[in-house]
Amino acid sequence: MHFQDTRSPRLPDLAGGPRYTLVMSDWKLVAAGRGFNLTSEELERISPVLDALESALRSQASAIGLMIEPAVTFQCAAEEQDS
Amino acid sequence: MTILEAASALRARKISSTELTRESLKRIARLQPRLCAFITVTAEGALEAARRADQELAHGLDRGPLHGIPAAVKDVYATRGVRTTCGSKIFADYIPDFDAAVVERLAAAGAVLLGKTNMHELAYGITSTNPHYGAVRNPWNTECVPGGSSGGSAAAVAAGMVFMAMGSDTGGSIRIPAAWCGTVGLKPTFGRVSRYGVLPLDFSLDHMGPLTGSVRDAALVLNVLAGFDPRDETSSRREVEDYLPPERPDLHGLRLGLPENFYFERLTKAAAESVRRAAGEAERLGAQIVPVRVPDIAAMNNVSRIILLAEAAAVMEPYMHRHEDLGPDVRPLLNQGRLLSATDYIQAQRLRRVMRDEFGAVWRQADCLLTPTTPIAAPRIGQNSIQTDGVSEDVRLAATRFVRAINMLGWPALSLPCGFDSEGLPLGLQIIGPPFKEARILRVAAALEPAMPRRPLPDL
Repeated sequence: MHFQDTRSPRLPDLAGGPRYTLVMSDWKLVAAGRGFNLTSEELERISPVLDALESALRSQASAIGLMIEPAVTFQCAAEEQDS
Repeated sequence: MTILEAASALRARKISSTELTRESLKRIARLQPRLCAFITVTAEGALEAARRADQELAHGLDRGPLHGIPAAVKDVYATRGVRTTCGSKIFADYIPDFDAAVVERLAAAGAVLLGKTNMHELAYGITSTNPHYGAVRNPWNTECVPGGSSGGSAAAVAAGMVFMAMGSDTGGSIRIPAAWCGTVGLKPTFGRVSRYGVLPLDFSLDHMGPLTGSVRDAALVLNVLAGFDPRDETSSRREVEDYLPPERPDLHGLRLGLPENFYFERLTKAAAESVRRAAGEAERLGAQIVPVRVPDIAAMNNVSRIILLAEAAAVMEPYMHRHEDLGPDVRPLLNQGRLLSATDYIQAQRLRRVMRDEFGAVWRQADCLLTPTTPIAAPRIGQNSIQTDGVSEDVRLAATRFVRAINMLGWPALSLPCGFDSEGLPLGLQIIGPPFKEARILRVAAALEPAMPRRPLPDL
């Protein structure tokens, strides 16, 4: 089974192609841009982990519909359900 | 002795709370140098609370089964006048002027608080090898970790220092140490137990629950803790049930799902066999065992990790100027979270909604799921990787592989001791249920518990 969004109305693909272009983050630049003082050793240690997480996430996120809202205020069951 | 047995002895005047508390304090004093299960022991306050409990019971004021019972809470729960370190050097001198909701409820139920248990730094890890307060050791083999992050709570219960201890679970932190120390560990549904007054690791993944010596004891504690709390915005208004299962429940009419995929991949033979044996026992007790296919749990674990990294980094951002006070495994995790983009975090939270709905379909086929809690028994202290099926895997990722996604879904889950590996280390069966179906999970666990292999703890 793979996760797919089956609830939200389908909106047309804007360009007819993939909605995501995968551009890997340069974590060294991100860290410097945000003013984080991370050593190159620390960055070397964490970059592969972040690369893998980001790559997998973006691939998964490309499958969800535009109308899906984030579960920021999380409810594990909808209010009206009593499952 | 279980809480229920102690409660019965207290009411029959065979023992007093003061005697129980003195015994517990003696055991803590003897075992603390070996296990390092506590950060703070509150002996004086405990003896005072025990004396009060004895007086109340003598005068006919009975606060219920926890009245006079020695207990402990993980050092992540705020305790008025007692320092609350969260296992961190950063909070080493933090003395709250209030009690967490859980501490209030335990006190109102008459539990006697003996102290604050040791834990993985900031609850952000699974070993409880704490760089500031000492490495917690597993009572079954002191060369091994107890699991984490609630490692001190699990070790304290397993070693008989207290009858129950509270843990917190963001990615398995109650269930992993419960499995590795041979105790029961219950992670209730998100919103069932108030998070008020708990130092957060992750706002949307943190769950509060007990570690106990028996299933029925876990139910008794949940009876005290469950309920709405307006101070926690995610607290549920759903009605609370009586969670205590009958002594020997049968399982007729229940469909227990045994996953065909994911949960029986890359794990030790002992871990797999112990769960299959438990499923066989469930069938003997009347349950229908249903093979189920679960969605892509690896994808869910990935999304859950992104949420955890980002939220934990947000929690700790104000303290990052003290990064030199953070341990060597926690600091990189916080830095990873700081580098993730807001877009990635929001996408993860959107995927979470989709995944909840998709995995929720499993409840049309089964009433509960049975899985291993962890693919391995407790690793050695300092061990960074494990081998399963010839593949090397980071210990933290391996330990959380079967439990992490359940936090993202917010569903209740319990770890029940279900056997031992070839080295005599305990293994756990994870029982997962639909939201707010703790009573069902506890019924299944209580039915299976008497049939699970038991061994005496080695001499400590």
